[in-house]
Amino acid sequence: MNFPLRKLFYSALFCASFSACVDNSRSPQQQQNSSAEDFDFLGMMANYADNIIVPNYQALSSSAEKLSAEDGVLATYCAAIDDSVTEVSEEVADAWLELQAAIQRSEMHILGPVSENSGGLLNRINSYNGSELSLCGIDQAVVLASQASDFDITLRTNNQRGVTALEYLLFDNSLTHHCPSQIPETADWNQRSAEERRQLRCNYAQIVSADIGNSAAELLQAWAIDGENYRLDFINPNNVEDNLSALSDALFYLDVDVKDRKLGIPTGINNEGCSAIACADAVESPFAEASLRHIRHNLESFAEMLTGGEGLGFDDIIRFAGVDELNSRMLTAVDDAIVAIDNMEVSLKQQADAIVTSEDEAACANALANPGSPSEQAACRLFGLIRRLTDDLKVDFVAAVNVDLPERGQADND
Amino acid sequence: MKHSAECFALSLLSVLVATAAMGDAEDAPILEEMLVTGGKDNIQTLSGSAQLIDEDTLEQFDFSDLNQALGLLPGVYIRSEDGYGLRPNIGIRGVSSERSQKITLMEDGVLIKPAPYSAPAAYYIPNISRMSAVEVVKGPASIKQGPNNVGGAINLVTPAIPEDRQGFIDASIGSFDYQKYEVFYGNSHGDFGYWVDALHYSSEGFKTLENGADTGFERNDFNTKLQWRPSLWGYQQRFTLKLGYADEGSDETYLGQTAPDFAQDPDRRYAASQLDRFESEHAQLHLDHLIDFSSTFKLNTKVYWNRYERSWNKLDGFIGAPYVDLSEAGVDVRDVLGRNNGSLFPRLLGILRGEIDSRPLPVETLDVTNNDRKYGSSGIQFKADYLLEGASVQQHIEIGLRYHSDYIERDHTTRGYLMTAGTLVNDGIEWGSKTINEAQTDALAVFVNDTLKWRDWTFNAGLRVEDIDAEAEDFLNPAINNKSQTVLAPGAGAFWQFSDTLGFLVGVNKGFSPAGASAGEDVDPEESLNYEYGLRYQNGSNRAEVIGFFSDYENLLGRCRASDSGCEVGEELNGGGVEVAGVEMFAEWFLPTSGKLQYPVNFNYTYTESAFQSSFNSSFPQWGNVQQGDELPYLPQHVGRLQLGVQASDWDAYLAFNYTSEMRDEAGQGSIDSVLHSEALSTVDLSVIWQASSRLLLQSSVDNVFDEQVIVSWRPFGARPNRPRTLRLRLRYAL
Repeated sequence: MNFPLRKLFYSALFCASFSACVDNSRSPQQQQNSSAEDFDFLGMMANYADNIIVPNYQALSSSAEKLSAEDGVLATYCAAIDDSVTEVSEEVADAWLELQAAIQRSEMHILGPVSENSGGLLNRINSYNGSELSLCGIDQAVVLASQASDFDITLRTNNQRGVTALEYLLFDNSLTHHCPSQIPETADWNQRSAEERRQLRCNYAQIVSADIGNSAAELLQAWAIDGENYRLDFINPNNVEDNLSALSDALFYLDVDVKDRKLGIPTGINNEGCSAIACADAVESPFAEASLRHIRHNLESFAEMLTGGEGLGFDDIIRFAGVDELNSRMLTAVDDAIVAIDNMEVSLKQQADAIVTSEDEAACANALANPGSPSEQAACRLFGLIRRLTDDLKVDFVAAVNVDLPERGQADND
Repeated sequence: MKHSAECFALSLLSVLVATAAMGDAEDAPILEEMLVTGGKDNIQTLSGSAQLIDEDTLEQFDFSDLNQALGLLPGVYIRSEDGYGLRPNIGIRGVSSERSQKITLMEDGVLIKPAPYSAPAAYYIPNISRMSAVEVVKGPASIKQGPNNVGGAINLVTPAIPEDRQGFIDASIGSFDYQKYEVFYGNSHGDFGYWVDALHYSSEGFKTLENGADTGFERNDFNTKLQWRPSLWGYQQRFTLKLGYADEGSDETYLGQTAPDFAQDPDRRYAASQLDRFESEHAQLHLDHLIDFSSTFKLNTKVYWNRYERSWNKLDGFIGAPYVDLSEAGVDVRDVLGRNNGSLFPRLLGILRGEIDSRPLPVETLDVTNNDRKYGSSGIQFKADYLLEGASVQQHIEIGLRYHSDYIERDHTTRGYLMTAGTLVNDGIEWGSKTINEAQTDALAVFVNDTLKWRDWTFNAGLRVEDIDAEAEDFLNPAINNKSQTVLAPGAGAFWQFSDTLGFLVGVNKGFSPAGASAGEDVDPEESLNYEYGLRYQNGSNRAEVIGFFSDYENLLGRCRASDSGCEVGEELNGGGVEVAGVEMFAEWFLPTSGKLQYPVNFNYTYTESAFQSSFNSSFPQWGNVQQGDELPYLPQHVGRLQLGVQASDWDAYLAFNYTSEMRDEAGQGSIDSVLHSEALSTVDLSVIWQASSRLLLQSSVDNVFDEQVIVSWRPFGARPNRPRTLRLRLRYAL
């Protein structure tokens, strides 16, 4: 290289060194805590809609369809009823449990179309949330449906429809009615043969399951892209603040409904609406005695709603907020509660039935206050385990996800 | 635009009739007063980066796209939009390229944007085909040019009045019905001189709409320059009057595509853009006066008047604010197209494509807004040049003063359309006006620049002061805002002629971009401190330049967030900063040869890196919520061009390799592959010129020889391509 070019080369090298001068460091605080404005809320809402909520409703619809199909398990069971049948078939029981599982998983995201009109659509599917089951009303409807070809279930109240009505119709082996004597439709009910009563109830169960199927289809249509497309409302970035709030509010089902109502009232921990020490009849599933199974599904669904499943979820917001230990704590509490349920040998109804004395009451109180220790009052202990979870939900979770959402920038198209 | 074809034919006929004796008149030298760099010789001793592309260079590829021409220079960043450079997005030294808002744009030293202060977006830009030179000045531009000189300035230079008769007919045709016709004729008679230029430039466009609607454009440009060079009152003077009219009609859109759709057909346009149409008219009157009081003192005065009207009827997304509440408002089209490869909003995408019919809901109704705007700018500027010569010192003092006034009137009205069987059908709803506002600015700018040459050294120092008074009035949400700001922009630099061939330069200059007319009283102009140092080499026709730069931008406009303290949410405030640094390399070289052929090599390369210095919520939507350390969007880390040529006595051939690296769509850090980004683009251009006779020149050019098409931008709405392979054939007949 000749001298002038060498000078040129080294000079160029000298100038080129000027290029690496920007300070692109981030402060340690920023490396840990990215601003909430960074978070992909659109991606998160789309994940919840496409991978959790709509699939849950699809599962609900499929399981309702399985039960109510003209050639489905329920129709097959109903057609085979004779005087040798003393209880619901295993296939129907499994199908009902599968339907309940789908419903229970969906209960953790009560928002949007299912909650509109004071939860009308929800209550048509599962009236446990709305009001006490009207056993007499169902008994009447059974008879009316058998007498009139134009029987319209949609004219019945919600507490005579839905999955809890279906449970009564399929799992109540007493087959006796629950109406006052002056109700004409049920006046001669108890005198009918068991086969006839089981048959009539089964026939009405088919109507109820079809009604559940219709409600489930209506729910899916409300979310469907080529339907009412609530999905678009839900993931529309313009609505992120409201929908994120609705999503986090929905998680409090675990506190109000699962802990306080499903567990608290039957065990007497929560005396609302029940003056006795415990109220076993207030369990969610008194006939199939599947209440604990429902709570288990609620807990599994809670974990999925917390994490967003495989995609973005509240746990990512919590991690962004720098309190990842909250995620671990809450998920551990879920696992502990599920293990506690799995270790129970008797149903919730039976456990509640066993709480009769003040000593039982005290033992229950002790079990819920010390959920870390084993106890014979397993249901009460379960209450305490879930309370650990809901305490975090009410304080630390709310603080972590109560983010200042970014202002959507004006379009830059001048 | 029927009348334009008739005008053109008439111009052609009159020119042909006027043709007389043969002979080539040489191009007249460009007048120094039209240049902002002072010319190629002056650039050699500038203390900062500046380049001038002369007419010969512009002819090598017969550039009609300013973006392509600027690709010859380092430190200039382009974000392609329509593929023809109709509305270039140009940035310099890292500033945003959005509508060239952050650079000073001039024609013959006169501000040429429609309203440089009130609305700095460059919707009008002169056609480069009728220019004889393009200048780009970076750091030192901030003393003598302004406003919006944070990055630099670009000056487009019209031809000088020829001393002898000069004229040509220039006709080109090409792919996609590309047509360019230009007629130029000029002459001087004693103290009088003139030229007339008529240009028509059009194409049917390379994008396709399924319904076969137009996607092309047509531009017409008529200009004349009249000059009188008398000696009056004992002083040599020159009066130049330039008149111009330009119009444009283009079926251009903001709408791009999703990435998967782009991969299938980059040139597809969705049905929702079928009504998009841009129309504009521009008129200008520039009067230039030069008086040589002596060999050491002259005064140049420019008076200018520009008027520009444009309407752009285009898809603006789905119906939203201000017509409906946020809860009913449509989703941003950028989210529809850009998120998850367009899979998040399948129904809305289907509507945009024309595959799904809209339901009569705001969220599915297409917002087609006619953005109707009127602009005006006028002013008077003086520049005095004093030359002082001492024993070993030469001093050139320049003093400038400009009074400028401009305005913009915006009236944007919306119509709603429902996609129905692939056609946009008006929904019959009077949605009303989206925007009705005006802004008006008066600005007084004064500068002093002193250049001192002493032995091998050239020093310069200067100061620019601008006093800007603006008023913005909103008629929809009645409010009037007054904004006054005074900006001081000093600069200094030095150049050392180390040897006959090698020199070193260093400079520091402050640039600024005024706060908008609607900004609050506490909001300051954006500022930049630009440092440069480098070397310049010239040996005969060979020259090279390597310049390192560091730009520190401050007071970037932001919006107060709920998490910010000490301000009201949504309030505009100063708070952002970004650093941009890099190195520019530029070379024009003739390879050694012993034969009659010459082998020119042109090379430029720019390496750039950037980082925001603070976290803030920028009011500039392209930046959004910025974190400290984020890189700027649409700023390529590597951009360069290598051009190889062969020049013979009657033919030339050129081959150019262009490269632009991938760019982020939004400010951010980390792997660029995991976020929305434009793709790296490599293209090859070829041009062959044959001087068939002394009058006749034939040229064949192929732009993008290998037909490379990538996503060059995700803005404004969705993935956009560069122009595919385009063949152009040109004939130029000298009169």
